[in-house]
Amino acid sequence: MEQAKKRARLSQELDSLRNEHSETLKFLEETVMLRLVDHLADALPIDSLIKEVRYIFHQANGTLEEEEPGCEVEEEFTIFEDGDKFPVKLESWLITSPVQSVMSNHVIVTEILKYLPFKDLKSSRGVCRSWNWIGTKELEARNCCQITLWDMASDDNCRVGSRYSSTTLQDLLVVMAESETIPCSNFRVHSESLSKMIPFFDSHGHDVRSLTMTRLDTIVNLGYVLKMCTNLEYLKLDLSEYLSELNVEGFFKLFPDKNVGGRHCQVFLPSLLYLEVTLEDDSWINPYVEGRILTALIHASPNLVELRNFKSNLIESVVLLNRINLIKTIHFKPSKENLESFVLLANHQPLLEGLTFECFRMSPAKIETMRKLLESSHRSLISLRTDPLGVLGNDPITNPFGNLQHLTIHHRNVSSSVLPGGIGFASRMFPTLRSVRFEIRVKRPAVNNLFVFRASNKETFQTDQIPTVRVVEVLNEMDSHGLQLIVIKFPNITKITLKETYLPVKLTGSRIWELLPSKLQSLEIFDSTFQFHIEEKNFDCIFTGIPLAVCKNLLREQNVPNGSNPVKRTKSWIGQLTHLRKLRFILHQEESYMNYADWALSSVTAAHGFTLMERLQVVIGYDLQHRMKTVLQKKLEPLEPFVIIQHVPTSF
Amino acid sequence: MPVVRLQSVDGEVFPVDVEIARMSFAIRNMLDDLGVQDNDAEEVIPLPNVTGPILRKVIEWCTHHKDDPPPPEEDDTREKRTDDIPAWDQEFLRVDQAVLFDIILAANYLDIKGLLDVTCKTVANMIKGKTPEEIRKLFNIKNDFTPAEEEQIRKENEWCEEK
Repeated sequence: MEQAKKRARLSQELDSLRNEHSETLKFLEETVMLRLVDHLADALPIDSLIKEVRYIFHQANGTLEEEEPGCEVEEEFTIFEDGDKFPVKLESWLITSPVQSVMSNHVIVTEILKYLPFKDLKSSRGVCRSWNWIGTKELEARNCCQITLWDMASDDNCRVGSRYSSTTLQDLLVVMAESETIPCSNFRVHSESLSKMIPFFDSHGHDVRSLTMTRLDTIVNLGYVLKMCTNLEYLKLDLSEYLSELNVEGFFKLFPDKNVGGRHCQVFLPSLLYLEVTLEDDSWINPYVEGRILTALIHASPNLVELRNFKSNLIESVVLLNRINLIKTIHFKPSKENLESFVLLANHQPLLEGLTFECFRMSPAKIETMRKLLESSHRSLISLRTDPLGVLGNDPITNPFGNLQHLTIHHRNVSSSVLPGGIGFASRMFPTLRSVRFEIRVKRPAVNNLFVFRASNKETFQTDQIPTVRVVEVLNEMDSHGLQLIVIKFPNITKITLKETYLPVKLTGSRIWELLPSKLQSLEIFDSTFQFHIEEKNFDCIFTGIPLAVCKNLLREQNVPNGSNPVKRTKSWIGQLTHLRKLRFILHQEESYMNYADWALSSVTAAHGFTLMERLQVVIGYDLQHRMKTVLQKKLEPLEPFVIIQHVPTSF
Repeated sequence: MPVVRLQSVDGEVFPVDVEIARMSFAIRNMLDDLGVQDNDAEEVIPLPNVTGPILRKVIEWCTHHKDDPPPPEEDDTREKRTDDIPAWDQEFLRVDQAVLFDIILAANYLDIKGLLDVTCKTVANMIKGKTPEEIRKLFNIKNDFTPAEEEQIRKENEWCEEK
């Protein structure tokens, strides 16, 4: 019925075209209908079909009309070395408009598209053929596309993109045969059986570089799929919903088996570098089977580099395989069930790159395990996230962390606020440290213990500096004493983030500019840092150092003086941070969006502060989807010439 | 400081410090190839693709950025940032669309990487958030797809998500 309607509407359209054109074109009708008859069953809307008819008609007639203004004239093709064609416009046309000259210059368009985020890059492919060509190349270079395939037991077809998508795997196969299709070698598969996927992996398995499998409720066909993916580099298997152990032996038969001398060695993944097997912590699946799956995969992947997101319940299998080197990161969160696994790992002296400690209650066994992990990894660790380090007791760890770059001191209910046991915050221990993140309070008196360490002779060092640190983040309360200690401890900070930093009243004035390090290049502050919503605080005053009363006067005057500052500053101001290049200001408190909040940056600040610091770039980030955004938008309007507005979603 | 004289297509001559002129790799290569010495003050370099007003803007930009450190190596496999345009540059590029695109052409022809980068970022910011149709309207680009091709791209975009 639908097809008949479409056919009738198309005939009508052809009638009207016939009237417009000469009788000699009548013969085209047949051609057109012949070419379109295949499309009648498609999901194409009738408007598109009509457009297609017009296109074919005009093309065949040589009367292709100019529908868009200012469009191209003629086109010739340059063949590039790799055989790709790119349309190039004629020189005579180039000189007519700079916009068109730029837009037809593929070198410049390539440069422009490099700055587009994924969504806009996809969009740009739909502009014209040359942009499609350039955008496709850029997507390919970024290797950022992923396609999700759905293979549900209740559906006869595999779906592409979503389980309700009208596109089936067969459609995808047709599209992938085209030359300028979207470049994708990363696939995510939600499958309840995988049987319908086999033809896809048969023909395209060798193109798949990254594969994520979720909802895998039977393992029977996984082996066949992996057998086809010979160039796989990354594999993630989510076995948390794995329900059936039927045919599990069939799966193992496709893997190397030392007992049968490789006779069944069919799955071979020489390019696989990263393997991630996801399991629930309290998984009820037979741990023996899990271990066998992991063992089989490791056997089949001779060049594996890392087991990512590694879970403690698989430690034993890896130890048995003697491949401890594949474990690079560990989240040490001991429980009754898994402590033994961690002890086993620690006894094998792993060389970890990332280590997180998360212990609620200490016990001698846990402390011993932590100590062993730290000692065996002291040269390899790059990132360490830990409780305040007093917990390891008084026996000092003496080997420095030769490669540690990122240290996070997180907040737990551990009474001590000293770095782990005897590591002490000494520069000797951290020769390459680049960034420190404080999630604990940096306040008097506890902060003194944090920065002071005692050498074996009980002598106290307070001024031992760590010169390599460039980035400091403080995510908890901090007082002026804490800020001063940080600046002394890390003399070469260039970037500071103050998030959730509840500075006490004395520090909320402009004095903060005196305390911040003079070499600072980048500063990120959150509204909670200054609590601008509290009355009697004024953003202009704090930033410019101009007294509050004068600021208010200036605000009342409509004409903000340009350039020179007529007001004698009595306090310090942000301009004293002469190296500052970037100020990022994030509004994430509900109060900042309220009407009464008198904090918003005003044009006074902008004129007197930021225009005098011409190399300073100011970014204001707030939630552009916030229900009260209009109030804020109005407040920020006068600032638009001076600042960049960014969307930063808030969590409340 | 030694000076070179740059001549625009409309005959205007601009005396420019050599160090500033050498920010253009095209001019740098010309000077090196010609073996121009410091005392060749009368040497005029013709720039047949740049008009006087645009050349004046380009020289203004180069003069302001003459002490910039060389840009860091960028990773070509990622999206580049556009939120880091300095305030001065934003003000400098607050011009008509035609002038902006003339500056892009000049930056491309003269091979001034910093200027090309900042102008391309500006155009990228104009494109962000727009539909293909809006982009075509903005830059007067002809839609040369057949409806079937357009439909295919629309579908591909629907399937394809970011990794």
